[in-house]
Amino acid sequence: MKKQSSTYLRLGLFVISGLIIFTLAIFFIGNRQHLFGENLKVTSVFKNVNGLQVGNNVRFAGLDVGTVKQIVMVNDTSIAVDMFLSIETARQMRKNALATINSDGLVGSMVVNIIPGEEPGSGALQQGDTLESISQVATADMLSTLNRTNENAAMLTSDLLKITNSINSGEGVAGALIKDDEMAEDLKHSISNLRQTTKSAITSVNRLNNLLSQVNFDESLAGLMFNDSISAQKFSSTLSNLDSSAVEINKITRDISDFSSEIKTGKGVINFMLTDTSFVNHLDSSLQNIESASHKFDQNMEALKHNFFFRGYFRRLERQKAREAEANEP
Amino acid sequence: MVINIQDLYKGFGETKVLNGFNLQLMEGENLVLMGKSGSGKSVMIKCLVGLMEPDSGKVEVLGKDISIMKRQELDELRADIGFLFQGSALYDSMTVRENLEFPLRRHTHKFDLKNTDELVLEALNNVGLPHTINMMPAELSGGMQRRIALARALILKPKIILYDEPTTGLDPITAKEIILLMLDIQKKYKTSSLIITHDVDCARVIANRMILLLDGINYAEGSFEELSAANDSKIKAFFK
Amino acid sequence: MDGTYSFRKNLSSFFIEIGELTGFAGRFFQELFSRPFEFREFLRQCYNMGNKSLLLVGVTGFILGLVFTLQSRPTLMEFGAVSWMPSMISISIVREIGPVMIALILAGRIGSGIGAELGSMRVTEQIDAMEVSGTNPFKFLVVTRILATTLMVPILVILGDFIALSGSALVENLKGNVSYTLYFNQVFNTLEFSDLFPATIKTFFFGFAIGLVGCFKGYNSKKGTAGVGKASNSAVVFTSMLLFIIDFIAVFITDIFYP
Repeated sequence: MKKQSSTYLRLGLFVISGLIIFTLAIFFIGNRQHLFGENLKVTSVFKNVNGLQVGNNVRFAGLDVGTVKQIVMVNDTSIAVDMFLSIETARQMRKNALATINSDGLVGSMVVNIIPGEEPGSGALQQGDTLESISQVATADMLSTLNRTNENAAMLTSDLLKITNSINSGEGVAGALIKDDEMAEDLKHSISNLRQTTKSAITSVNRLNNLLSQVNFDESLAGLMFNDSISAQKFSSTLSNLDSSAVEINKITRDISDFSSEIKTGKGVINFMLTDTSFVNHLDSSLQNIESASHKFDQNMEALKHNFFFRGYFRRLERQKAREAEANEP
Repeated sequence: MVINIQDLYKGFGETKVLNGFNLQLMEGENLVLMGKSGSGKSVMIKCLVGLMEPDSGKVEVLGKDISIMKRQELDELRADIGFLFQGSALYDSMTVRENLEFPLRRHTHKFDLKNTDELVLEALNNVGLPHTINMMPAELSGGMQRRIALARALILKPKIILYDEPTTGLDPITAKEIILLMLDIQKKYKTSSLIITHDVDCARVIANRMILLLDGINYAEGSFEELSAANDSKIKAFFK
Repeated sequence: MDGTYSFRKNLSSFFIEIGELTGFAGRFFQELFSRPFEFREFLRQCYNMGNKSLLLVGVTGFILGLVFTLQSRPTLMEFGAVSWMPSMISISIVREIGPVMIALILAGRIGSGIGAELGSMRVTEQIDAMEVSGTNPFKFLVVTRILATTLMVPILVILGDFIALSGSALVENLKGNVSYTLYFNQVFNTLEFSDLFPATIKTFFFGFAIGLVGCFKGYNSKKGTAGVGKASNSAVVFTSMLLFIIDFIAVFITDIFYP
């Protein structure tokens, strides 16, 4: 008999523990749904309940205070939502509180949020009261707007990124322009000047060469030339031309030296130069031309000085200079 | 006459087991029913206690026709019949005491519940195993199990005891002990017994009268001496 | 031809079995409401099935919750949703996995046990012995057992669910630093009556099915020890199948009432 009663005791414990757990589960779930204890029933009318369901939570300042008991469609623009609020928390709420329907997180279920009213002094919430409602933008709309904004932002960012990258690596003239447009402009200018000058220098030298070859190889013609005033005048103008060319060349050479010093220091220009190799080659050959032209010019000048026919002219020129100098120095 | 079976027919589908079997058991008599295995002895005995329904024929026990009995009446009648099953059929999940108490549960009107301990002990003393009262059947030997089963069959002090192969599966010495026990009990309680067996030694010791069951009918009837001395080849086959 | 024949024979024997099972269930209800009721045997069976299955159910339930949580963690972490673990685990365990898994385990333990016990009682004529002793074996053996499984399986499932959730809470506590209070707070925040009640009602049917099929197979067992083995084996197979069918119907009905 003793063994049997201990068997029944254990069976009883087993059954009761199962029932206790079940009852506790019912209690906890029911407690959350506010099935037990005193409740305050309030109603709020919405235009759109956004998928709110019976049993969803009601929150006041983020605190779960009740559940949705009933959702009734009153007419085509108003849906009444009945809520049960626990009496302890409802006591703290005012009549002018506002109800809104929000989603609980991005994909969560819907909740009714109760927001305290603006003006103080309104009476405490009573059984059967109706709360004002505020309609809220549905999450779906919010999400789609957010999405569009996001896409735009992404596009802008990618463009910006591209620009920044090309600036950093100094790609193309655009990069150069952005980085150092003044200098690049200067440089271009200088280069076109240089080209022009070189061209004119070459033509001058060629003309001189032609003249000299006539002088050297045809004496009769040379004599004729010196006797002929027109011819002498022409020669004189040629020389003055030559002189001005030399001045010009001098100026250009200075320009180039400035420019090359700029190349040494200017980062933007270097990049510009590097990315424009044809220009560099051109520059190089121009410089060579200039060098050879001036060399030839020097030779020609020296030859002219020692020439019999021109010695007098040069002496006269020197005398004139000396006279001028005397006149200038009183 | 405590048992009267007339023209009993019973078959399972195509096979006919009993074909117009007749049997009468007199009061205080030890009747031995012999037959080969599969000859329908067990079927006959089950028809007798209402475990099986005969296809046709009359079965009267203690003057009552069991085929027209309601369940409750049948239960009451069964209290007067002790049944010793072939394999003892002790309830494995119960102790010896619970096994013996089991038949008492439903027949409390016959006994005062307070005496159950006395009745259990008396039954166990009759079979000489009072010390096994709190043991489980699995802890007992085959012979002991058979004796406990006998004690259980006797506990309601039945008027009739049906023995289904009481000595099967036991060694000859234990079998003899059981047979002697059966005789003792018969003398003590003046019961009428119907013994089904194919054990010739058992039949020789216990039988007042014998019936040979062959092909579903009672082929021969008489005392052990008469039948063992018969010239019929089919009868002789039983006594080899 | 042979295949068709055996298929038709199988099919017809299947329907015969369903018919017999229905008759058996009908007899159960008929005998359930007629006196006397074998109360002591009923309590004994409750103890055998309830208390003695508790360890098995507890261990499997605990491991179930543990493993389920561990396996779900990486996936939930990928979505950054580990905080949903209590909700997810509690819903799946309470609604579906708990009842079905525990019922299947109990089909293995209780169903086969009943099948083997009643089968061997049938074979060794113990059922006949009861009948002869003036006790209705159907009442004594079948009614008590079916009733015991019907009442014990729901309790075992409730305890098993609780233990499984405790296992899950343990993992969350160790790996995710979630306190037990927070875990069970979230569990009860997620669960609805629509999760708890249909699942619990369904377990009564599970229990009934386990007891019914076990008793049916055992009680109608064929002669011989092979019959006992077959009774026990087919009890488990048939019960498992039946459990899924009941589960399907239950989920279907639940879906209608709680869309």
